[in-house]
Order: sequence, then C-alpha cells, then structure tokens
Amino acid sequence: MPAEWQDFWALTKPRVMSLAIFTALVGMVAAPVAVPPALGVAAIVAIALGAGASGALNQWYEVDVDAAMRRTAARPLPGGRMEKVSALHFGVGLGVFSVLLLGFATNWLAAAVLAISILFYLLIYTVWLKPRTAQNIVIGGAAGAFPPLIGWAAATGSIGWDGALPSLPWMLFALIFLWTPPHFWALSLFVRTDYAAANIPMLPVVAGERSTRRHIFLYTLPMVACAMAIPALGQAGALFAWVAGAMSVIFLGLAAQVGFRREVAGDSMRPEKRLFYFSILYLFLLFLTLMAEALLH
Amino acid sequence: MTDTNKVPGDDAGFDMDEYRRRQRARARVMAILLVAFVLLIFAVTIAKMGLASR
Repeated sequence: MPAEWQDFWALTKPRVMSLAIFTALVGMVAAPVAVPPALGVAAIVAIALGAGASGALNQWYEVDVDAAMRRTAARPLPGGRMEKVSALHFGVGLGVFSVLLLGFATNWLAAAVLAISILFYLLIYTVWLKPRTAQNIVIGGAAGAFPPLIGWAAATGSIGWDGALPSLPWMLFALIFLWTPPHFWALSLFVRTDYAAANIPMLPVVAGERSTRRHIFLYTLPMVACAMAIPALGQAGALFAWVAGAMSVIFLGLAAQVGFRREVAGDSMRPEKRLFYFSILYLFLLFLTLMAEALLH
Repeated sequence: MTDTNKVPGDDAGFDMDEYRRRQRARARVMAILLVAFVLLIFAVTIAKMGLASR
C-alpha cells in the first residue's frame, strides 16, 4: 500500500522546517544585498526542502529509536504507514533537489553550505553524536544554526567571514547554536523516560536530572551574552537591544527556576515546559525584531 | 470468481479502492508541485535574465 502524501509531509518535520525557513529568511533580509523576490522565494523554498530532507533522512535512520519513544512512535515509519526505502529515496531526492535548486537560483556557495548542513545533521548529529554522547545536542546544535548563514550566503555570495569581529550571520549562527542546549535539555527533562527507553544518552539519562538543570542554567549565560553582543557590536539597533534585553532577562529567570529546583512529585514539570515553550518564543521574537529593523532601515 | 476490490492471492484483504484513492491523492499533489516547480523556474530564469542585463 503506498503511503499517504501526508506521511511524506510529516517526514519533513514541518515544525522544525518552519524554524529553518524563518531564520534563513532573516539571514537573507538582514544581508546588505537586496535579492530579487523570485530568487528570494526560490532560495527559501530550497532551504525549506533541504531542512525537510534532513528531517526525512533523520527519521529513516532513527526508525528503531522513534519506535521506542512515545513522543515519536506514531511517526510514519514506526507507525508502519511507510516503507523504509521510500523515506530514504524521498530524503535523498529532496536533499539533492534542494541543493541544485539553491545553486541554480542563487549561488553555489550557498548551495554548498546547504549540502554541508544536511550532511552535518545526518552524519555528525544523527549517526555519530546522538547515540554516543550526552554532548550530542551541544555539537549537533550547529545543524540547526546553518539557515541564517545560508540565507545570508544566498543574498551576498559570501558567508561573511571577512573581519576581526564576528559578522552578523555568524553571530546568528552562534545564537542558535548556544540556544539549542537549554532548549533541548528542557525538553529532555520532561521526556527523559522516552530517551532512556530508546537508549539515547541525553544528559538527564546519563548525568541525571540535577546536573541537567545546572547545565541548562550555565548554557543560558553564553546564549544571553551572544544575544546582547549583537547590538553591542553594532550588528543590530536599539529596538533589538531592548527586545533581546527584556527577553533575555525572562529567559534567565526561567532557566534559574529550572536550574535550581528539585522536581516535586506531581508538578507535571511545569517550569521545564514553560522554559521549553518560552525558548521558542525567545528565538522567534529576536529574529523577528532583527528582520523588522532590517526592513525599516 | 474474483472480488474486484481485492488483489488476487492476497489473504490480508488488500483494499484496491483505498490503494487507488492514495495513488490519486499522491498524483494530485505531484501535479500541483510540478506546476509550482515550473512557475518557480520560470520566475527564477526571468529574474536572472534581468540581473544579467543590468
């Protein structure tokens, strides 16, 4: 029985894809070179398809892990609604197509960075780090940090590595890279039984809950410093400084609450869930502000 | 006598109507994506020709 098209759509991890689209769009809009709308749309479509390919290949490789976790057991492959080989063909096809489309529409540097990001997510994060080390999400966070860099490269033809001070696309890369650990560790605290069941060495499984809480708070500090460094280094304006400042204070407060508390039986991990959802809002608002500043400039 | 809605020899009761419904739905989505792709490539080509003639 052929899989439903909706299952192929689910294979692309649409929610993760939407974050990649948005951050890539901000990277492109914030670049000093205006992109013709048709090329901009094509670039965003290509980056979205590249992110979708990463998601599909990740699900193809992790079918056993997904089957063992309640959160992911209903996905198309562990749910038995799709042949594994279909997911592989879909992921590879989508990945190759996305790289070619980006290269054709914009430039081959951007296409190369997109290819690296897909391979990084599959080979470095999914295959190598995730099943082996509790640092999986720290190093693997780079995979999700590529989109603004790709957006910038699509617009300018360079990756902005041209001076002593870090340029905006690299600061955005660093911001997402540093945001990923507290974001995922907050999630891993309230789904740690899932990770334990799947033998994934996430920090709460390997080092325990107390250590994870400390890590969440400690990793929030460089993330906040990075967010505030963007306006401090003149890469963003006063509006971004205010929004980033206010949001960072709240993030720090929530991270401290999670970092220095002990779980109370029956409290449903509310502070951890609050931090997890706020972290999404944090990244979204900071990037939205940056885009607004770039458009108003 | 063969049930037209079943694949001959399939004891699991393969539903041919469901099979065709899924194929049709996938074909429809592919058609939409192909049209979108053609329009996208057309727009990209026009935009690149515009850039080249500047």
